Amino acid sequence: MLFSSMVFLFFFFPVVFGGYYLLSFSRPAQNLWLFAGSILFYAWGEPVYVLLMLASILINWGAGLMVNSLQDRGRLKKAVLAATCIVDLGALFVFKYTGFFIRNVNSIAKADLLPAAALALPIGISFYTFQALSYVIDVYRGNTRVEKNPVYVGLYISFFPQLIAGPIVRYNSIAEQMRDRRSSWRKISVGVCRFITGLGKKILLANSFAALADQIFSWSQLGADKFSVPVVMAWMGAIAYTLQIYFDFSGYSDMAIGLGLMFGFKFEENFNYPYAAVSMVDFWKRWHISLTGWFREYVYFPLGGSRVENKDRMIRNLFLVWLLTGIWHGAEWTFLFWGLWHFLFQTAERFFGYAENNRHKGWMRLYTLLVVTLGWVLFRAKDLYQAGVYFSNLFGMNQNGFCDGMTLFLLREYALMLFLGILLCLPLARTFNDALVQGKLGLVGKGLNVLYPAAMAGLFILCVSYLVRGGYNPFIYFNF
Amino acid sequence: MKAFFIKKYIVGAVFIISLLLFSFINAFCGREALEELAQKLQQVGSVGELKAWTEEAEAKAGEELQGRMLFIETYGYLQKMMGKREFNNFAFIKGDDGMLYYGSMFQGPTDDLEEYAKRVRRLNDYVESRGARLIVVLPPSKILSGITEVDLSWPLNDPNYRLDKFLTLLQQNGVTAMDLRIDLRNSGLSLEEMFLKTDHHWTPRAGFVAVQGLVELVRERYQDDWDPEGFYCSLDNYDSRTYEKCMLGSAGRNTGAVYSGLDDYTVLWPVFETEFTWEDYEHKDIREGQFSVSLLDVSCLDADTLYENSINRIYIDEIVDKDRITNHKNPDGVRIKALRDSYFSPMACFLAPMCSKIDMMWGRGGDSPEEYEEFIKEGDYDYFILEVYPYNLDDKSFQFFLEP
Repeated sequence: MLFSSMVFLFFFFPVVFGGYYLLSFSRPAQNLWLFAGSILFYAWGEPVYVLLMLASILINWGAGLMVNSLQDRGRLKKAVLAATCIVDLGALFVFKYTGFFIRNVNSIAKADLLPAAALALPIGISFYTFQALSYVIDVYRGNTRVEKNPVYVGLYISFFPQLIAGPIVRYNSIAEQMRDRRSSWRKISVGVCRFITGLGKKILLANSFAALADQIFSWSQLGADKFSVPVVMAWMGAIAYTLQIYFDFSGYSDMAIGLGLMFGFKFEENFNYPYAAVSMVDFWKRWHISLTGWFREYVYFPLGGSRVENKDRMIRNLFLVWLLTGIWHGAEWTFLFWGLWHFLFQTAERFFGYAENNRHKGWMRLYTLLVVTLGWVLFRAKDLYQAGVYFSNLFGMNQNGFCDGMTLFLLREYALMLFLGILLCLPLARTFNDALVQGKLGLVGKGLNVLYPAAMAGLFILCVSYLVRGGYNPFIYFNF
Repeated sequence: MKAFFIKKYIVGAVFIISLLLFSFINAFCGREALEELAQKLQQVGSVGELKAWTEEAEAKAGEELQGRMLFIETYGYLQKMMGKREFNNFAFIKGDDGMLYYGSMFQGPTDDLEEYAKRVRRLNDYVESRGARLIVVLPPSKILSGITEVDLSWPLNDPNYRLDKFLTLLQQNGVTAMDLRIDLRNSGLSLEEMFLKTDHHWTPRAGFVAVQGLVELVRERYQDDWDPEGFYCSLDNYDSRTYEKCMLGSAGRNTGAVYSGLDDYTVLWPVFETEFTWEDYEHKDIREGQFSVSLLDVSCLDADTLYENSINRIYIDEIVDKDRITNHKNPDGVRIKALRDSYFSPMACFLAPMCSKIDMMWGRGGDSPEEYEEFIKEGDYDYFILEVYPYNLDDKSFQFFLEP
């Protein structure tokens, strides 16, 4: 089920929300209600794979209990943890990477050594697998108390606001809230505003940019002999996708955080104006923060992180983390190379003293944006060949010309949205909001405060209007 | 800080109360649809059916939403305010002339057309073997060179290239085909007189021009004169009435009237004596009497049903799976059988006075090639007309004589 769907907005959410507060007399009943709702939410789109998720919940709940009961038996405890990781990652591999693996083995062998697998990707498997792993590892490390109630582990793994596209909540950050959280009108109100903001980002902005990016990337895919994508159009497509993926994913995170708040949960932030970053290292402190945090906590630090004496090991650690980050996003070479692209620039920044040697923030931001945007081209392309074609289009190396009538048409049609998108990527809104909160805007601020509820109501009505129209809707990160 | 939270409290309260209320109203008003869905859910027996059920529920939730058209109009208003020509992910492009054109995707290769032309050739061979004649009628799209002024560098879905290619292939296969772009271009009509702004269909007036062209083609090619005195093809023998701002076509129902505007609709009917029977086999409906009773139905001009009704239904209900017009005033007239789409409806009505009967089947409404072939083979006829709208030049429109 999508947050941005009629069924969710006007049927599922009101029922779950209403039921949740009717059960206010009992926290366990509320948790059970949310768990049941989350299972229904997932089963709506994945009626078969919901069983896989339920199995994952049971396995990780059982593994948590075993790990906890083996506190004094280090080796066995480690073996249980290893087995759980193998089962969790094994399921992820089977459903996400088998097809890719078989395709490449057959391609290398130049024969059909292995039969092609036709397994559909269970939605959100990468997200809930990482959450499940987080639980068992945290119990193993003694960072958190083991949870004896399977419903609570189930709720942690399957809680519908963040089930399908994060934020990836680490268990130790939410364990206390499962039993002891406070719902308040303040939380609900802030959550509502956050949810509407996210909905607006997704429906008004991301979907508009998606229409443009999808058209241009599909035209590029046709090949220059059928449709020539001029330089300006290619850049427009790359920028549109850069904006789409940000508003799509951060919009989802806003909605998830907002919904969490409405049910009394407080999730960690997942984005912090990533396109205002001054370096690639800075970018990853601002983009998909929960994923970066997960890899740092469970992969990078255990490998030794940056505090290793040998720089080769540090490079190895970074390489592994970015290789895994790339692969986590999808079973295609483009994702792997996208991960390596980010590894390359971050490593270069660390070793060439980028932050120390540069002072001009404007140029630093421009460099970061350029690297990120080109990275997204790799990420968006169907395969490496198509990525190459698109790069050729970007730099006019495809006999594709500079600009044409179609480009001018698209520019005129999307100029306003592109301008708005770029503006809203910058931390202007936050600065403005801070000034508003601190009362620095005087009468204007007061006027804006009065208008705010009407603006939010208008934004929601606009979102529903766009939804009624249909058109583009899926979230990009559903595929991961 | 206090104001910061007060405004959020207000938003929270308004949102939660409105959402709960609106959801309740939706559930209450859509209870029939909900009951229907609940019944269907009980009949679900497999995962595939369950997935189909959830998809249907999603679609129903959108269709049954209270105030749906108001939301669509809001969307259209915003697009209009932003001066957008591209509507809803390139579904439509609005021209300077206010016409809604289909938006673009790459037209794709034309290799498939060769196969369709071969099937039409087989149809032609069969029809000729019975002593009848096949005429392929290809109406134009709104993008009519020399008439349409829309900028062709825009991302328009222009079917002319495929249409040209298909006409060439038909010619190579020895099939008589009628390129109605020529007739309409030579008619002296403006684009607004030929096409509806908010719909992909042509006007009844353009359909009349097509009939004049068809009669001329038959006379020239087969020396067969359906209208020797030029009576039926003379506009002087027809009356017309323009209903102003009464129509929102299929494209307009997508964009909303605020964005697209409304169309005037001019109805055309004969002033001479007529007596027809129209039999709609799909809905088991029979209408008898003069042209305005049997072939016309002006009840769809009701302004209250602007968003639900297609005014093209005015002529023999626009399209039904199978239907027949019998002309009681001209029992010796030509007998026509047609595999057609909705473009043909006004044509059939204006052809009817010259014919004794016209049997029709929707060229995309059949379930199997056998069904089409059965229609082609049954009964007697003098001419077989295959009419295909240019955006429908695909496999679904040529489901007959698949094998050589």
